[in-house]
Amino acid sequence: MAKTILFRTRLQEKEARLVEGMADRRRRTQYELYAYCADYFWNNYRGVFFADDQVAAEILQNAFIAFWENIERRSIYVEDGIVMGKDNKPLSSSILTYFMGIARYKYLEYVKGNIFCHNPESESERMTREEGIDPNKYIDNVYDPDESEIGEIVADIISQMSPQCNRILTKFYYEEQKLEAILEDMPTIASYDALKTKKNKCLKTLRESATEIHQRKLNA
Amino acid sequence: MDERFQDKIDDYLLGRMDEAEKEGFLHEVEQDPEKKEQLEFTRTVKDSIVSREEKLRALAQFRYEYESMRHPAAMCSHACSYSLSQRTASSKEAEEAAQPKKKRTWWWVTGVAAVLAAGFFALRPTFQSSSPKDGAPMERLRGGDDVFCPALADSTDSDTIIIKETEKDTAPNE
Repeated sequence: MAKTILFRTRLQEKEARLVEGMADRRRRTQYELYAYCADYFWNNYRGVFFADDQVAAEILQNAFIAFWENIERRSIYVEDGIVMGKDNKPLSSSILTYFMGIARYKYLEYVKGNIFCHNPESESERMTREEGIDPNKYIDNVYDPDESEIGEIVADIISQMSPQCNRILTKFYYEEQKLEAILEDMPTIASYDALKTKKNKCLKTLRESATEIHQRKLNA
Repeated sequence: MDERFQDKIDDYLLGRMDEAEKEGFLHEVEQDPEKKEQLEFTRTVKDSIVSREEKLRALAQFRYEYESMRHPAAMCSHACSYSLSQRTASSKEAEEAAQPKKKRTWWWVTGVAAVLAAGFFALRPTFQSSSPKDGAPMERLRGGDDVFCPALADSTDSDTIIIKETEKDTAPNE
């Protein structure tokens, strides 16, 4: 049987090595991939969306975390030295293009969440008008539309939680602190019961948002 | 969402149950699909938060290394001062652990600048020109610039006026 031999450019080899190293949790390669993406991001973000440096740094962080999680989830992976993407096909572009797609989506999420800074509708319209794209298409870089599970959605929407919910849930589930200890760190919350109610409310909001997004994707 | 059952879920996921309690809890979950779904969702949230926090810690280190290599003179430029709303206490701790390295780099930069400034001011007198009166010994021996400096071409200092006598005035036979 004839075998197809794929020739790779040096760039493809480099990107395959970085993605593979990221999946294998090699610390040095993880940093190298971060630097690779950050260089490209800082050189190009001004032409992509309107954001000051502080907001841009936040978008870079969230986009890289989403990219990292996609690699861990094998939404993007390496097979026979080739970077594979959706539908188990070779990625049609550089991983930098893929990464910037995630960054654009994260930018739109930021815009929607900060209506006092931007008009979300006009920002979305501007991107469509100037770049001729549908911003929502980049959602495929964040969620795999064919295998959209609650887990992927939760991992993404956690980055959009309010600072208070973020703090409470992180202290409770990551640092495994008890509610009494958390209450001492959060003087703005009046009582143990108020903290417990707040924590459960954060969980409930997360669940409702995740279910809604999941339903929307199933119906799309 | 059953809030009372949520407490049991949290105790189970955080390892606060003994074996007997765990067994009773799992049996209760198996009997009720809604409780099972609630358990699975909470587990997903916990795993996602843990994963994100570990990545945020790693990113804090990456960001510091990146800024050190790309912008050594601007250690806390834009990439360092990102939104506080995304920073958690754990990532703050990772950044605080990286602060001593940043201070050492600033001390190094300041030291180099101080050495360069001291060298500049130390060598400056060597290049300053001296006045003729207090000039170098050889200049004083030669008599200064007055003797050896030629007059300028357009100077009137050495001009003289010569009055020529006319032929009429000097004719002897008149």
